[in-house]
Parts: sequence; C-alpha cells; structure tokens
Amino acid sequence: MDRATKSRIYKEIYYRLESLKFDIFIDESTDILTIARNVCSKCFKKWHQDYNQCIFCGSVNYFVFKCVKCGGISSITSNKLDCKKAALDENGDVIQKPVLNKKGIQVIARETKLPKFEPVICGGQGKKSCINPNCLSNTEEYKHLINKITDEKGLFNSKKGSLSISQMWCLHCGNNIDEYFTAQIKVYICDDLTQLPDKVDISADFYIITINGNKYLSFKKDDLSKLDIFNLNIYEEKLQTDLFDPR
Amino acid sequence: MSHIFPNNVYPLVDPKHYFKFYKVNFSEDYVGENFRQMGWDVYAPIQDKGIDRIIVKYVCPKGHTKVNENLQGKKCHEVGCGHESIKITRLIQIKTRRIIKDKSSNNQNETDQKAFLGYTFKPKDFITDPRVCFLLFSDWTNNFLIFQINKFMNLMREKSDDNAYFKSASFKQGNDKKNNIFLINSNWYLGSDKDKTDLSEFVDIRGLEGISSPYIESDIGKLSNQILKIKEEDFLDIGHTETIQEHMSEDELKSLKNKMKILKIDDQDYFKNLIQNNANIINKLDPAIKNSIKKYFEDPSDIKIDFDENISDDDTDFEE
Repeated sequence: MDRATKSRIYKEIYYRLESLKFDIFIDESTDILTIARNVCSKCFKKWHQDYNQCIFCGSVNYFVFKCVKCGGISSITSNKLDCKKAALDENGDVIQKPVLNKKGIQVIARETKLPKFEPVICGGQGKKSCINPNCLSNTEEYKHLINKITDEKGLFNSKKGSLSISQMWCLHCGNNIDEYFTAQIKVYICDDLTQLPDKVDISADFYIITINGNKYLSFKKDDLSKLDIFNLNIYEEKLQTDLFDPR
Repeated sequence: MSHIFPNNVYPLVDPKHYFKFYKVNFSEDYVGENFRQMGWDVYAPIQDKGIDRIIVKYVCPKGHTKVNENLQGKKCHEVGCGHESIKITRLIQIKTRRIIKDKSSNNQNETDQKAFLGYTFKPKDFITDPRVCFLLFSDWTNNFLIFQINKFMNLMREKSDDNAYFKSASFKQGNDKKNNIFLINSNWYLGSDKDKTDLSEFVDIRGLEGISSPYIESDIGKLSNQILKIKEEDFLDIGHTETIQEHMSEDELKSLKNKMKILKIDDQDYFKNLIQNNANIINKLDPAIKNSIKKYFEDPSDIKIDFDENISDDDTDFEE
C-alpha cells in the first residue's frame, strides 16, 4: 500500500473518532494516536470548559437576552437590545393599544367593523442574564445590585464584574470533578493479514486493524489474548467504536 | 537519551526572528521534541482545544525509572524490583513568551538583567485533573518552567494578598495578565521583591523531574479534590473590588455570599431539575429563538431543549 493511501485511511479513522466527540492527538512518527475527552468523573458525560455557568445557581449561559422589564427572552442575534415582546399586565394578559391612522384617529377593522388594537411592545432592555427565575440574581433583593455590578450588561456579559464561571458542575449529575479521559490506539493499516506483526505493540490501550480500509477489527488490550487477529472472519465491514467510550 | 533539557532541537532557527503571532507551531513542536528526547511519547492535537500536547511514558511505580527513560510497558529492570511499569500521562499547556526587560533594572550586563514573563490563565484552563501541567517556555533564554497544576495553584495563591489570585473579576473574565515571573541574575523567581519565591525546582530538568513522578497517578483522587477546593473557595468568590465597592458595602456582600452558600448546587436532583426547568422556559419560545441557542452547544441534548430540525439558522452554515 502506498504512503498516500495509508495516510488517507489513517486520517479517515481519526476523523471518524473526532466526529464521535473525541479530541484527537497524533504522533507523526508512529501509528499510535491518542483519543481524549474532558468528562465528568462520576457519570463520564462530556464536560465543556467553554460553557459558562451562573455562580449563584449553576444555570448554563443559553446565549439569550432577557428583558429587565417583562422577562421576555429573545435571540442574541437580535440587532437591537430593545425587547420586542408584547408587554403584559399583572394578570399576564397582553396589553393592547388602539391602532391609529396618520391623522391620529383609531382605525376600524373592515371585516368586523370594530376598533383595531395591537399589542404594546415592551421596549425594555435585554441583558445576558440568568434565565432561572429562582436564581438569587433574579430576586427583588439582589437583581438591581447585580445589574449595577455587571455594568448593566447582565451576568454573562459583564466586562467589569463577571459573575459566571466556566463549567464547574456536571449538567447531568451535578458532580463537580472533571477529568481528561485519554487512551492510546495503535492503528495497523495492512494490505492483507500477512503484514500484521507477530507481536503487537503492548504500550497501546486499544487496537484498530484495517485490511485495505475495507475490513476492520477493533479491540481492547485485555482482549488481545482472546482473539485470533489472523482470522479474517472476525473482521467487520464497519469500524466498531463503542468500546472507546469511557462511559 | 539526552540529559540536556531543554536541548536546542532546531539549531537552524533563532526564536528571536519569529513574529510572535506565528511562532506557536514552532514553539510547541520545540517543546514536544524535547520531551521526546527525554523518552516521552508525544502527541499533538489536530485541533486547537486547550491541551497543547499529551505526553505519555511507562515508569516504575516505585520511582526507579530515570527521568529520560521509558519502560515501554515492560517491567522495571532495577535490581530487586521487577514491578510492572505503569503508564503516566501528562496534559501540557504551553505558553511561549519572550522575556521583557524590566524597566527598573539598572544592571548593564545583558545576560543578568532583570526581566519578566507575562502570561494569562483563564478559569477554563483549570480542570480538576492533576495530570495537567503548565509549561512556560521562555524562548529567548531557552528555559522551560514546568508547573504541575496543584503546585501552580498553591504557589500563585500563597503569593497573592488574601489568596486573591483566583478571586479577581479579571481572572474570571479571562483577561488577567500577570507579569510576576522574573529572571534575575539568571535565576527564576515569582515576584521580584525581597519576598520573592525561588522557582528553580520548576525550571528545566528539575521541572521535568517534578512532573515525572508516578505519585501523581497514585494520589489522583486527593489531588483532584485539592484543585476542587481552591476552585470552590476562590473561583466562586466575589471579591470586594472597586467596582463592587461602588454599589455594595462589605456587609451587603457578606450577606450575599452567605446566601450563595445556602444554595445546594452539588447534588444530582438539583441539577436535573434546574436543567429541566430552564428547558421548560426555553421550549415555550419561538422556534427561531430556540434554534439560535442550539448553535452554541456542541451537544444540545445536554440541555434538553426541543430543537426544530426543519428551521435553519443562517449562522449554522459552515464558513470557509
């Protein structure tokens, strides 16, 4: 097999692993790659250092604006920070205002012959606040103070006084310890079984053997003595990857 | 195997000629090559995600392996030992900095001038994994300062007033530039005053020895909890900074902090309910808003929101 083909197959394998949300690390001088993933130490679900959590309640930053007046939530891709939501009265009903024409006279709907009304737009300021209504940062006692501390921009967007932190609690189980799962995978890319070595590299944790990029066998180091890697019948057409999952 | 560490593995290259924004690959490969020469297997990321190199070697669990040796999965050959070797892994974050001459230095001798290294760390750099190591590469002087994460955190905390290093708002925001590592008369220190801390145990071969111990693996639980303790005490602390002083007295701040402690945020049910309750709020919103949220999450199922696959968001298109 020429070097270019071998390189293509090798890349195909590690891109496949990368698509499964592993971080891929390679050593250009060997055919061993390292898969890694930042995970919760308890449930092994993925940890995300780029997610921010509110330091008061642990809510994740959902990248939305929350209106300080009506609590309405709008997309962060909105061009303006003014809340476009319909304003609500104390009963939660939409506040209506008469539709007026250019002369300031209330418009009458043609179909119903009744005066036309439209919702009053809130127009309140949107901030990148915590959306959890039970969060300390949203209580009457503290929300105005926290707004001032965060430079009127909201808990997740302050330049002066940040009150969010990169992920500290697992979103699934609440555990507060994370770790980096890592494993070495030795990859053998062969034209046929005769090219396999008599003894595989014992320093890897897992192995992937592929015959021409068409047949695959993946297994753990512990299973090496149980398998006959020279038996093509145990190879499959698809690359099995479940065994690499730390969960 | 080499005993010189770091060794100039790219003698054709003078780091002084590199424009700082282009020297990352050279520097990280330089570091990686040096670890390789000391017996480590070195792995480089295919995407830049925070960890710059993963290094791995097999050592005797009793500490018999030399600093430049790798047992490659075989037993320890020390007479009377014969233990199976264990794999040790280190997650290296590399920061390459040119030293800057300190303006207060009066020493005319170029090699002995007082100079400092600037660096910035962010909260997301501090995962609770004690195998994380920070490597400051002073490229103009060819020194590696290598800190295992626990040691770094303790050192920086102890050296700052009121353990303030990790409490500041600027640290939380990720823009806390520090210029507190000094090279004075060819020795490295934390600080430059009479109370400066000698950093020689972290420099070059001694720094490498400090991270080559298998005891990090054997104490991993205890070391993780130590990192967590600092994060809980300092990362979550709100300091009484100038900004906060303008709006809150110290007593008001104390009262707020006490209320924060009352909230139980480390149990499974609390978080399950929190994620679901927040998802209930989001799920009532317009589908376009929900979909604008989706692109910020690598795994949207984490946050239990019902996204509509049929609604596209312009920003989700891959940009070339």
